[in-house]
Amino acid sequence: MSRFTRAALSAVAALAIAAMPAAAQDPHGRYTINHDYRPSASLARVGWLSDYYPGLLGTPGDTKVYYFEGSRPGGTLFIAGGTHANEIAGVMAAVLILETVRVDAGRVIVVPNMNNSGAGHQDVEPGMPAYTTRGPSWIRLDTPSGTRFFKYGSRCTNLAHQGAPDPEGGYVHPDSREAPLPAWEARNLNRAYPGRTDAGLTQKIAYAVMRLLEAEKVDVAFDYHEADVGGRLANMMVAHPKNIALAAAAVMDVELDYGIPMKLEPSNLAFRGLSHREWGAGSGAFAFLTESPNPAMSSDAEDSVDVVWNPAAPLASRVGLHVACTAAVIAEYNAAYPERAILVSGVPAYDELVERGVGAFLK
Amino acid sequence: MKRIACSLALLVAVGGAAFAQATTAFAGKPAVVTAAGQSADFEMIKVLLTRAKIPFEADSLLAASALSASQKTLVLVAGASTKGLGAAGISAEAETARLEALIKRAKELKMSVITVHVGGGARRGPLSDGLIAICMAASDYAIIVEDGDKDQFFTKLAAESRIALTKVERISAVGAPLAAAFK
Ligand SMILES: [Zn+2]
Repeated sequence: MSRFTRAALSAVAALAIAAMPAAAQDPHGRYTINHDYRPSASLARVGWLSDYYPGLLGTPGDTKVYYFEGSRPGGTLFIAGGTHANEIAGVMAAVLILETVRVDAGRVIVVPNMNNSGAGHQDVEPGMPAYTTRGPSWIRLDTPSGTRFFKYGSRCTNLAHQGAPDPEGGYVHPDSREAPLPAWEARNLNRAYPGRTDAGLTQKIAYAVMRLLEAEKVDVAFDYHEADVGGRLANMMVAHPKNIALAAAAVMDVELDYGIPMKLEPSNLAFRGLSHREWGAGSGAFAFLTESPNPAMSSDAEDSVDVVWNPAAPLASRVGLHVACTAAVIAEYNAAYPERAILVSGVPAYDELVERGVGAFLK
Repeated sequence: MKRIACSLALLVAVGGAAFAQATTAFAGKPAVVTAAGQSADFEMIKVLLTRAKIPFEADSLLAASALSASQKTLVLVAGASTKGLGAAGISAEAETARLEALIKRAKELKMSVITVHVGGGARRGPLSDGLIAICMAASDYAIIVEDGDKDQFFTKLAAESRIALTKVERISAVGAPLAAAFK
C-alpha cells in the first residue's frame, strides 16, 4: 500500500467517524439485546465482559457485568445466568439477585446473560434436539411497576455469530480424550471452558469468563442451569471436587430449610469444558452449578408449553432453587472463611418466591 | 428448632421390637466412614455425622489395612456412581473387592457395621444393588431413604440378615437415627 493510499484511507476513516453521532462510536453492545434490568441500590458499576478480553468488544458475545459492593471488605461471589439462554430460571435467578441484593460485606458480580448471542435467537437447526430452543421468545412477568418482558433464547451461540462452521466429525474439546460430541456442541458455552482466543465466539466468551474470575479474585462462583423435569440432572448441584464438602452441607441445608430435594455430584475431571470443572481447576473460585427443572426441556413437551406458570415446575420454585442453593453455599462458605465473608441480604427466600411469584420482587 | 422438628417428623422407623438395635444405641465411637460405590452421598453423610457431633474419620477409598482397633464402627455409604468410580480410577470389580476385604477386617476387629443408603431410586441398579447386598449382609443396622426401597429390596435384605432397618423420607432425616445408633 502506498503512502498516499494509506493517508487517503485514514482520512476517509476519520471522516466516517466524524460523521457518526457520538453515541454510535461506542462499540459496546453494538450487536446485543438491550435487556431491561434494574439493579439494586448496592450497584457499584456496570461493565462488560469484553473488559476482560477486548476481542469480544463489539461482538454479539459481549454482555453486561454488574458489580455490587458492600461498605465492608469481604469475598467475591460470581453469579452467571443464561449460559444456556433457554434455561430461563437461571437467567431470572440472576436478574432477581441483580434487582434485590443488598451487599454488606464483599462483592457480588452478576452476569445475567452469559451467552448473549444465545439470548438473541431460537434458530431450529438440523441435528439439534428440540429442547435446545423450545419455548417462547420472551416471558412476561407482572411486576410492581407493570408488565415486563425477559428474553428466552437458545442453548447455543447463534451459528451466524460463531465465526467458524461447526466442526466436521463432531466437537472435541482441545484437552479432551473423550469421543466427539455432536458438532453443534462447539457453540455450547458449557463445553468451551477454559476457552481460547483463536477459535469461535463461544470459545472467546469462555476465555473472557476465565479472565474475569482471575482478575476479580472470585471466591465462590455459580452457574445457573435447567434440565428436563424428572431427568437425572434436574434438582442437582454439581461441585468441583475441591469444594464438594461445602456443596454437601448446602444441599443438606436447602433440604432441611425448604424441603427442596437436591442431588449432589462432583465434577467429572475427565469431561472437559464444563464451567464447574474448568472454573474450579483454572481459578481460585469454589465452583458450583445448579440445575432446576424446566418444563420446556422435557422430551414430550409441547411447543406451546408454559415455562412460567407450569404447575409441575413453576418459574418461582425454579428461581427459588438457585437462590436457596446459593444462599446455603454462601452461609457455609462464610462459616468456613469468615475473613473473606460475603454478607448479603434482600434477596427473597424460596418460600416467599413460591408464594408471591418472581415478578412481585422485581422493580 | 425448625430443623429439629422437621427431622423428627420425617423419621419413620420400621422393623419393630424384634430387632433391638433400632431403638438401642449399640455402635461405638469413633466411626470410620467409606463410600461403597464412590457416590457423592458419602459427602452428605460426613455432613450429617459432623452435625450430630459423632467423632469419625472418613476415606472414600478406605482400605482394609487402614482399619484399626481404635475404630469401633464402620459406616458404609452404599450406592454406586459410575462417574465417581471413574474419577477415583477404580473398577467396579476392584471396588467390590475393597469392600469385601474391608468388611472382613472390620469383623475381625469386632467393629459394628452400619449401612446407609440415601440416594433413593437414582442409586439403585445392578452395580449399586450388588454393593448394597454385600453391605447389608454384613451390617448390624441400616438406614435408608425410603424412595430406594420401592421394590422392598432393602426390606428383604434386612429380613434375611435379621437386622433393623430405618426408613426416612429424605436425606437430612438420616442424621437423627444415625446419631441415635451411637452409644
Ligand atoms: Zn444448561
